[in-house]
Amino acid sequence: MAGELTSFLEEREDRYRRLEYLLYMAEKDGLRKFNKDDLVEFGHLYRIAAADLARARFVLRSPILAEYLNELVGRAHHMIHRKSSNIVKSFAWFVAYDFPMTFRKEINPILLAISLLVGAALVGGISYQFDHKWGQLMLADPNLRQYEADLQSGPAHLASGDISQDAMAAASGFIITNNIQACIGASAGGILFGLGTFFALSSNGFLLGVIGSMFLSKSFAHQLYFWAGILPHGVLELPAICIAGGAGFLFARGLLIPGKISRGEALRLEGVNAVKLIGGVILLLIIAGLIEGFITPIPSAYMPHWLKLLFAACLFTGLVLYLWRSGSREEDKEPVERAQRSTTHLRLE
Amino acid sequence: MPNIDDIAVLTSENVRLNYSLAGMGSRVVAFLLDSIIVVLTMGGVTVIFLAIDPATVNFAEIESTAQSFLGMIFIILIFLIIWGYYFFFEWLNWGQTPGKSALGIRVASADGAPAGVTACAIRNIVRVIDLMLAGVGVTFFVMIFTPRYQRLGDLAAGTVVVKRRQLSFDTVLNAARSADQAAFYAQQEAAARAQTMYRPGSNITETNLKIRIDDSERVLIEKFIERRHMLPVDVRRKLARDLAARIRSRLPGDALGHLDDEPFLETALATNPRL
Repeated sequence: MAGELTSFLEEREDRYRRLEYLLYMAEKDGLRKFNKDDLVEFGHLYRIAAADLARARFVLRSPILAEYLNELVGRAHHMIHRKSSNIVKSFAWFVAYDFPMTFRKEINPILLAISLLVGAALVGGISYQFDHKWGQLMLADPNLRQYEADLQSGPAHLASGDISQDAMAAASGFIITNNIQACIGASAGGILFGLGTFFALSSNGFLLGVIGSMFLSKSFAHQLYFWAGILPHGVLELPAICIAGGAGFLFARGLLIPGKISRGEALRLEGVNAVKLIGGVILLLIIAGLIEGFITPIPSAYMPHWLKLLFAACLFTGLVLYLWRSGSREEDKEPVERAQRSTTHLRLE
Repeated sequence: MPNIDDIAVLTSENVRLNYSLAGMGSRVVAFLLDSIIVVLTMGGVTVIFLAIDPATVNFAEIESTAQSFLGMIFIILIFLIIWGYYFFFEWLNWGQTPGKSALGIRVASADGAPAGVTACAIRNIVRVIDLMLAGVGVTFFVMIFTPRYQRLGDLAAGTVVVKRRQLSFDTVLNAARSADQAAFYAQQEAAARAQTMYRPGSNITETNLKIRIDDSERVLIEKFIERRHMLPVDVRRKLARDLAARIRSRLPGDALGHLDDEPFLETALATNPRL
């Protein structure tokens, strides 16, 4: 009494089970582990299953077989059409070319972020000059109040630094993770039509302005201390927050000004560049955090202020050169050629 | 309810692949499961570091460089657990975190393929905002009002969460075998019923009576029969006529032409039992 479907299944059983097994192996270890015969067999079985899926739907009219084959064929399909790339190579490509190229491509939202940060810093600085108390009020963070109190007691006190030699590594880890979280938050906030990014940039800029303004009225020694204590890592951290802000504004641009494509599609396209910027920001912040943990706190007896400032200047020049020039030769190449180089498709024939 | 195929993709072999979107309930439960795993893992890591040296967790007590480096490792580990859990699982484990795996759902790009590294990064960066908004319930509204139950992170990454249900071959085979039996009985029954409705002298017999309907037609007929008593008479007649005409067009000549539309649909359904 075996029906059409049952006899069909009995005939196909071995092949389907073999395909299931090959898929299991491929999903576990990737197709790289397959030898040539396995690959050929996999492709062959895949095509049989795909044809059977159409058959299950339109000839056998069996929803349950169609459901089974749909998932099986889908998994095999993704396995075959998956972009396979070398993670190390892709990462090197990203650092060397892709991040600076994306930076140059999306310079406008980044410039917007920079101007917002600078604008907020000016407002913060001016308002502190007008009324110190008001500035203090805005410094809700108790650490910053302590900072100001320390400042009043003079540069000698400050020079001892607030990070002890022993705690440098831990402080560095804390700074890195904290900054990355802040920057991710600032970027992700762009999805709220840019409001989250706007708020993050303006509040950070305001704080910077107030702190900078505190030092502005102090002696030259104070100012030297201030800049030596902030610039070695700041030359990376400040660009990082601006780039993160730019990434946030990319999300906002996709949502607010989608152009000729749908809002969802625009958001998705901008998101690709935004996440590249965020990836670069994370790298910058890791370097900045290591500097802030290990170099900035070095007492001036071992590393004089001028040396720290020189270090900061070199670092900033390097950053500018990297973002400005790196990968510019790649940009001239045909997009197709670039795509071919960065990804390779696995073919089964 | 039949599976509604929410996403259809055409492969290069010209075969259509269908994917059903995961419901909000399973997504929330998967998220809660994942959250429990994240918290437990963080707790475990903290306990281990506390056992090694309390100073590695409480930075104020740090006195040596070794403690300091352990502290650095501790804080970076915690950071990676919080931010990397979803990202790495979704990227490297075919779109499934352990929670999603337990609920049988996975993250996919718009064409049903496993989401790539960029997409996984975006949806988990925007997760911060989605979680914040979920606190005031906005995320759920976003998911309801987007056609594919996407949260903001999914919208930005172009991802969807779909069901991942691989039936076992045995399930299919067993279903086919029991359907053989059911079909046998149903056909006998239907034939007996149809025979009484035949015109005398009709040459149509039980064997060439098999009316083929496909899955979507089955659903339509089932829905129609379920609701027909609620429909206005003219609408009911028109629906039955349209549905029957579609199926009749595939029958040879005027076969079963003597059957009214509704009995015809009932017969069609009875001769095609659901698997």
